[in-house]
Amino acid sequence: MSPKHIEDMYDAVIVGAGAAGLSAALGMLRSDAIRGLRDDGVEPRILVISKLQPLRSHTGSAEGGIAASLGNVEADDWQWHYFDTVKGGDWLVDQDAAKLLAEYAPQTVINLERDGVAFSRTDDGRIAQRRFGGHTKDFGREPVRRAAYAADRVGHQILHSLWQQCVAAGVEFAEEWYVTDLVLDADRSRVAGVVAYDTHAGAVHAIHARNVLLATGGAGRLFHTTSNSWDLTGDGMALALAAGLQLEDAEFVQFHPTGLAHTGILLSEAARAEGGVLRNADGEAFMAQYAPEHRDLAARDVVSRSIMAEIDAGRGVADPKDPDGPKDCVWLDMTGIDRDHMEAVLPQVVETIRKYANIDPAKHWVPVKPTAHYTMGGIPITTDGEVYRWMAGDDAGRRTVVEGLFAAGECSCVSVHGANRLGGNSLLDACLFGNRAGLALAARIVEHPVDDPMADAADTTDDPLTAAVDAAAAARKDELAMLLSPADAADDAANGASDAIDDNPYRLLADLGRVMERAVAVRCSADTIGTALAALHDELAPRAAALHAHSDMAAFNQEVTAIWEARHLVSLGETVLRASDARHESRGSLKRLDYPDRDDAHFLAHSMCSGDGLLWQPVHIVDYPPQARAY
Amino acid sequence: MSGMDDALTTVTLRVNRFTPRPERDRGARGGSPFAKKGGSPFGGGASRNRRPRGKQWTQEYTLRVRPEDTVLDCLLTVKRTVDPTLAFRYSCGHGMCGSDAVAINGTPTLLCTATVKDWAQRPNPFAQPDDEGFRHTGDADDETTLPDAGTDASDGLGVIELAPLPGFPVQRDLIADIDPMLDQIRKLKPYLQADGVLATTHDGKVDVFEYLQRPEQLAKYEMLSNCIACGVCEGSCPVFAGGDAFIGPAALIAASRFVNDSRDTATAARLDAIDTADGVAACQSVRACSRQCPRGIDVGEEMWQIVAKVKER
Repeated sequence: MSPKHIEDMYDAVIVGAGAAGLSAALGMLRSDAIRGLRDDGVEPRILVISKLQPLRSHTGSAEGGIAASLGNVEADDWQWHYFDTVKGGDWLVDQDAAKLLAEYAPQTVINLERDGVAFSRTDDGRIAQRRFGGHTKDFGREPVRRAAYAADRVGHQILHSLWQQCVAAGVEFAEEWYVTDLVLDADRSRVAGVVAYDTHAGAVHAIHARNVLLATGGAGRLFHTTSNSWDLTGDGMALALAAGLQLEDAEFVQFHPTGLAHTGILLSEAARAEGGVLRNADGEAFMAQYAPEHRDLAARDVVSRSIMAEIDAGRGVADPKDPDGPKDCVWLDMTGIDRDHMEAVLPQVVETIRKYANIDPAKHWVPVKPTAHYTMGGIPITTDGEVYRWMAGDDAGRRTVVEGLFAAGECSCVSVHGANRLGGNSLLDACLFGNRAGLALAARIVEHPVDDPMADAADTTDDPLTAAVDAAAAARKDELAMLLSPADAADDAANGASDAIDDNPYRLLADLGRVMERAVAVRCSADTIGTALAALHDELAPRAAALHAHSDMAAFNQEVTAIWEARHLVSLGETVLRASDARHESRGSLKRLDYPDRDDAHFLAHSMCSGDGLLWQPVHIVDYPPQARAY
Repeated sequence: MSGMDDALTTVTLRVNRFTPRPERDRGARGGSPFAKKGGSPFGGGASRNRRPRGKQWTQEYTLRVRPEDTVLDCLLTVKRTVDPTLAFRYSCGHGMCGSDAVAINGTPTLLCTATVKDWAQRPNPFAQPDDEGFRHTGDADDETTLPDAGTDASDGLGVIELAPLPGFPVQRDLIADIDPMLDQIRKLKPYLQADGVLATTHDGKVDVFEYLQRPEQLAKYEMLSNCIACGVCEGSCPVFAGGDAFIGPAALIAASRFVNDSRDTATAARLDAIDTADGVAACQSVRACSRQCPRGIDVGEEMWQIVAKVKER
């Protein structure tokens, strides 16, 4: 679906159509502000641009649950959820944001239910809830059933319900359009619009907008083994970097403990919540040693590191599909779960194991390996979704909001996840802060709507911004022509398989994934980071710059998009490495072998990394001073 | 696919390729007021079956693979190591996003759930009817009924033929335009229409609660709500893919999902909307739609149920 025509100016453009982007669109359109505007006969001009058809968004792969202290199956309190979130994030959480997350989680989940989500139910018809790693009652005392779930397909349910509600609200989409540029004014203080590439027509468009919201998701494709879909290439984060903005806490990448061996496909934490146990090569249930209290349901970073420690100690096993390969897996033992119960509450997990490992989990142990799963860091935002810059120089120690620019979901960092995200908090973050950003967008739109009948026709304040977007689009058109021009050896692959084709973005992505995985997956040190930075600068970045397409036909030329994605990932990879290098401590998901301990005296702060350098922003501590983090 | 050197065998992918003619070459004709619109009120019809214009050819890629690799694994290897111009949709890689429906050996299914060992076939034996007069089109592992397929391992597992999803216009290579299906789903108001009544507390204050729904009520539509709108059922349906103006099984599943949801209050209107010649009346109960549903929905049975509901009103 493409827009029938492109407006000269949009009130708001939303980039990305997963849980965050769709929640923002709905939050905006359902707001009192926009209702009032419509009552006055002014229709807001909104466009949602998405590189996938919205139902293909990776939100649909989320399995386990969405956390909220509904208290439907046992006593719960949002203050406990708040505390768990802060502790889970190893105190790198902005507590004002985490407080909002926990306090408004029940409202968010109930609204999703009322939008149609087919949640699993208790016998009396309430939303059912299950245990999830790191979620406790009484401030860490014992596990609590807090994750609302829909069998193990809660992401699918949420994505489809949100899309359905957007259909009801008449949201206009530009599907399979790829945003190549975020355009700001000259001093990076105000948004001007985006440049978007319609992959169907192969055409570049200048999209002028008074407000832009980025909701493009994560960047799991930085790593070779990842649970993320092939489209999670960190586009929004890379767009922000390219526009001269910062990324916050880019060094924190969560590795989910239980990827299905070398496929990286996720086996939900629900498998352990329902009784699955991790075992090493000797059959020992090793989590009891690393986290005596919560064992297999300790926070994800703790479990991933424990698995790696077992593997390093020689107690790993090989992926049975590659029996002579490295012993870089451990076992997930689900044989203690009743078969019928397993089929009823973990159908997706069971199906994945059968399909992709040819194993019956009710009878046999399943090989698992940590898999890149979630980027805690991202584009820095306020609790209303406004993108800001952390200032140096005269304004040092201050946040300066980029007027009209918003972000939400995994590509953003409001810092509710800190150094490590709890399971069940990502869908919640995307829906809750997506909705809040939508409300903030609405408030800005009604101040100065494009179709304002009272607007001064001679108003020229938009003109310099319009010119900036047009210039960026023209530059991108020129680049597209170069990428497509049949240069020297460019066309040899199009007409037949040749053994020795030159470089291409798919090959580059695979190589980048291996470099990043060796350097910073689960653990790193100055040495491994240095090696990867050298590989990036000396080999991968020059290769990315030299890429060209092997077909000169623009329509549905996936290689063009892949080239831009590869360049996005290379620039983002460099930022992740630089931020990892700067943090001389171990915290949450970041394990520095050369700095094994947390260092609150120096690093109780968010890294703010851009092309201009790296600054530190203090963490917002409101209620819970840092403590040791034990499970 | 990482250890190519350990690969056990080979497979040949025979891909039906298509490159659209550039935009500027079109439009020489067109503009006829009689060639547009018309057909189904559900948005199918003429535009859906417009024959795309461009260059068509067949290309073969022979790869070293493991039998348990998926066809998507194979195509990604092609992109990476042989031919980066080959176009096909894919995203999650494990059967949840619904983007990679194509025809494999003529059968609509997902690239990421199809394994080489299940779909590779020797070219010759299948072209002939078997003893009972049937011509096999799938089920390559059902070896007992097949003529001797040869046991020489040197020529690998055989051939897998790939084509875009039937019933939809091809856009490039294996990419088909499935917007007609999404338009049809959208036309049937695929969103919960509940009474919106807010629960209240004892003293009459509005208290926001979820709608209550007991597990047995959920069970009536839970399976239907798992539909990922991949289009496999549509491509399998001889009425839909055959070009008639049928709203199609995917849209009917979406409608049925809400008809069976105890929270929804629009059942009568929903049943009216599908009680048309191009709605449930066009379903011929062929039940081909059930065979490859990646979410395990018995689409044909659900069609039957919704037809019965329409008739029993």
